[in-house]
Amino acid sequence: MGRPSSPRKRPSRKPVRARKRAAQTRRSRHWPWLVLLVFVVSAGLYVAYLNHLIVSQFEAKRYALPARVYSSPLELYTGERIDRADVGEALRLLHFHQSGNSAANPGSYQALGGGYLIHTRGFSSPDGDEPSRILRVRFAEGRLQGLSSADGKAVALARLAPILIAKIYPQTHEDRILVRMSELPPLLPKALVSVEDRRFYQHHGVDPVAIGRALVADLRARRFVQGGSTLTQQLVKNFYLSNRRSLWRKFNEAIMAVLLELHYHKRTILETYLNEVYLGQDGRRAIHGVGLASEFYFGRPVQRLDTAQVALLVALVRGPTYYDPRRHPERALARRNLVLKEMARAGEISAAAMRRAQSEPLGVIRKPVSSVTPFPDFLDLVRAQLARDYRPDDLRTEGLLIYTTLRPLVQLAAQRAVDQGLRALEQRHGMKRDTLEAAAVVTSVGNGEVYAVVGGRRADVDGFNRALDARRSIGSLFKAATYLTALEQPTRYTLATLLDDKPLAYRYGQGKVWTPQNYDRENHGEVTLMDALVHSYNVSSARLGLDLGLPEVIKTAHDLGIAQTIPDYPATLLGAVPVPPIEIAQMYQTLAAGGYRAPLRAIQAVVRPRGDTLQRYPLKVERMAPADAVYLLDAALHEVTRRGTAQSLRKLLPQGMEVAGKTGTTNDLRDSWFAGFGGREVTVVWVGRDDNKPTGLTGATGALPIWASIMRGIHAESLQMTQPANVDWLTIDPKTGLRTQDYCSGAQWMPFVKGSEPKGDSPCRASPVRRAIEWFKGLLQ
Amino acid sequence: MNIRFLHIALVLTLALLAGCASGPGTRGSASPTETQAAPPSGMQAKAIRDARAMPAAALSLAEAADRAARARDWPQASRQLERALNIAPRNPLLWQRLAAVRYSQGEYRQAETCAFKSNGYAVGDAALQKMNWRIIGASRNALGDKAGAAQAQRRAEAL
Repeated sequence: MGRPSSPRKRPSRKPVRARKRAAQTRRSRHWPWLVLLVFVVSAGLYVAYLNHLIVSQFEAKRYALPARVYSSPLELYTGERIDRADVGEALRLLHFHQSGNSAANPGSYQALGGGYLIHTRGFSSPDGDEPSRILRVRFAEGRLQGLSSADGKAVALARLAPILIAKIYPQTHEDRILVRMSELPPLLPKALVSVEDRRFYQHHGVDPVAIGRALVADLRARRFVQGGSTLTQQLVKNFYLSNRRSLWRKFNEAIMAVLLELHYHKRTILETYLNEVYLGQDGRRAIHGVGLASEFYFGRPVQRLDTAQVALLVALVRGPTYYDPRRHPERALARRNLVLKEMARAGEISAAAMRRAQSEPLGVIRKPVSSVTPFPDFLDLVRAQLARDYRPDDLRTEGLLIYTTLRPLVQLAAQRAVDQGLRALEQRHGMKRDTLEAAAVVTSVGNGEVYAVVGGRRADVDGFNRALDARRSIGSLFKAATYLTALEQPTRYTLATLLDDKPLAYRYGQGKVWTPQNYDRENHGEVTLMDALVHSYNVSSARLGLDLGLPEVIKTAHDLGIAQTIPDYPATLLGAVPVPPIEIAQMYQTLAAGGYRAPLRAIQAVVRPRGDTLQRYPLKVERMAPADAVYLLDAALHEVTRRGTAQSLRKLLPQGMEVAGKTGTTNDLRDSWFAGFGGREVTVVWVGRDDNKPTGLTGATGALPIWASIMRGIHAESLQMTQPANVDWLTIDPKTGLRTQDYCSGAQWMPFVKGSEPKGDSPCRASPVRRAIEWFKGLLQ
Repeated sequence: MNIRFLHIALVLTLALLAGCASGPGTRGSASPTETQAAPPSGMQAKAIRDARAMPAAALSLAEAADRAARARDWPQASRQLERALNIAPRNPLLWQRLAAVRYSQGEYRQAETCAFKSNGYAVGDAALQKMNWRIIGASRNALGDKAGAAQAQRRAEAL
């Protein structure tokens, strides 16, 4: 009975389809609204995104400035070890000009007999403000003998401005000098507006009139001839967008220009534009903003530009390469004169002023004066130390002022000594030119300031920095660690302790035998600890190190300043340890400062552009070794330079100048080292070949003459060690290590920690006559 | 401890301000002797008899440090003392002053080390050494080293 189900189904299908159709109709009716909604929401979100971009980045981009790195300022005070030539060189580095009329302007000087009259430039630094003033400086006997003001009053201390040694640029190599609107010549913004965007003060970021005009011009010419972009659009493009020409970019540019105008005043936008605009190229350095461009083209601050120069800067906005006044002066002149015409038409200058300016030459200086005196080797150390505390982006854009410890005069003297010294070595030893390489580091004895870093023989080549990155075996420089370890145990070892220098065969590991040899291939029997170091005997030093224990000696080396891993092989004791010169400088600084390690620092302070100090790097001192033991070691290192492996220094240094130090020579004469110090400076020199082939030079014949030349060039101070209260000097017979009289043959003075003096006397080897004289002297006393 | 420090600072300030500038230094010292009649002069630098008699340039910086210290601007006081030490690196009074500034900065380990360093140069000057031992004692105390502080105090009293 049942009806077929299909007829029942059929009628029921109809309403379903109808419902579907109705729904579809409804949907198709809503669809445009939906699309519109999605579009509006998306567009709204997109505009909000662009707005966020504008607001969040504008301030940062507006003040994006490279970090500037400065040397230490040259301090002038009576008694300072500095001569007339040094100050002359400093004035040259600071671009002071010689004047005949009593140094009338800041930045000028007059040469006087025996000195200078200097009109200094004032400056601010983290150490305080230095006023601009006229100074009378006198020199005598290699010292600054008198410092007074123009009216003859004594001046205790004055400073010459620090030298700008580097700018750390953004990836784009953009450089600029920020200038406020109030500091600009008023004609400059007016000229820009009258030429580039006449309706700037009327539009809201986009100028439909200009776009229309440009469109007509483009259609007529059937190619792109005019942009119609406002200054605001150009700024947006430079700040946020790519250089690609596309409709999408144009669209973004227009929206962002309107948004920018909503957030910022016209004056702010114009000021930012003038500081941002690209105006030229100096090698890799892109010249941005009118402040820097003014220095770059005219060699003067933007405040002092005349009408013709203002017009040339505005002319360059359209195309700094095409209108480059140095390469294409005719084009530049024509464009400048056109700008002047536009300025006159806009009523910014009179017709007479226009004609006057148009008749003037371009007035561009031939070569831009570089504001930077580069010291790339030192800068490598600055960069390495900055990297510990700062993100690269902060350095490139925050406009930080970085004050370093670089002493330009020391750096130049060290570089000169390296360049000339290597040439002389190559000539003397019949080597081809440029066979040898070298590195040098000069630091303060007391406070860890690095004064100079020489990374190779040519300072102008920004390449491998051997002072920081070369790791070469240090040879006998390492022995200082061994001997200090011994002298720290005065009950076991004194300078008079006799060491065994007879042949040594040391068994270690699995059947290995170490047989160190002396440099002269001879053995010296029993020698005092002092003499073993003074003559750098390998066998006795190795035996001493093995007796002390490798771990103890290695610990001392680390304490003194070697940060590298030191392998605990016996050969380590003779310096088979690769260490960069900068770490050797730290090691010998600790020794020079009586055991007080002052971590080496190249940066003194980092300051924000507004003048507040962000970070200081103050002096730190760490007591790493007992002062008495270090004093004993230093006495031996001093003896090295008087009668030991470095005795040739006596001829190379000024008479009366005392120093302490150690030579270092490695296997097959591959590395030549000298590390040493006077009263104030520690200097380390390495000489070798980049391919690590033998040089035929020992520490004394290679690095030592260069070291001496540096110490002479920087007027290094003579050694001045303060004798600790618990140390006494005695005369010792080196044959027995026992006490003897100072008139006895071969007697040597040696310092002892009280209580560790040798017991017993050595028989005096003196002639009967001499003994009689001494006996008589004793009676008289 | 603050009262003690203020006492230290006051004494040092007075000592510095009472100081007078000395004339220019002279270059070098005796040449190395062949005869070895005496230990080398470079190893026996004369102790500074009157620590207040520093070069005028160092004194002007020490005074600037004092002004900064009075304004409790410790970083600036420290920096000016460092500059003074660049000119007179072996002056025990400057090292002692730096020790006092480090103490005020709460850097007790540095204060102790600077005071030790000052003692190294203050050979024969009991008053300076006494003050240094007091700074060492105060610093050790602040570091929680009671035994070390007591020992330093005994050294101070023995002088």
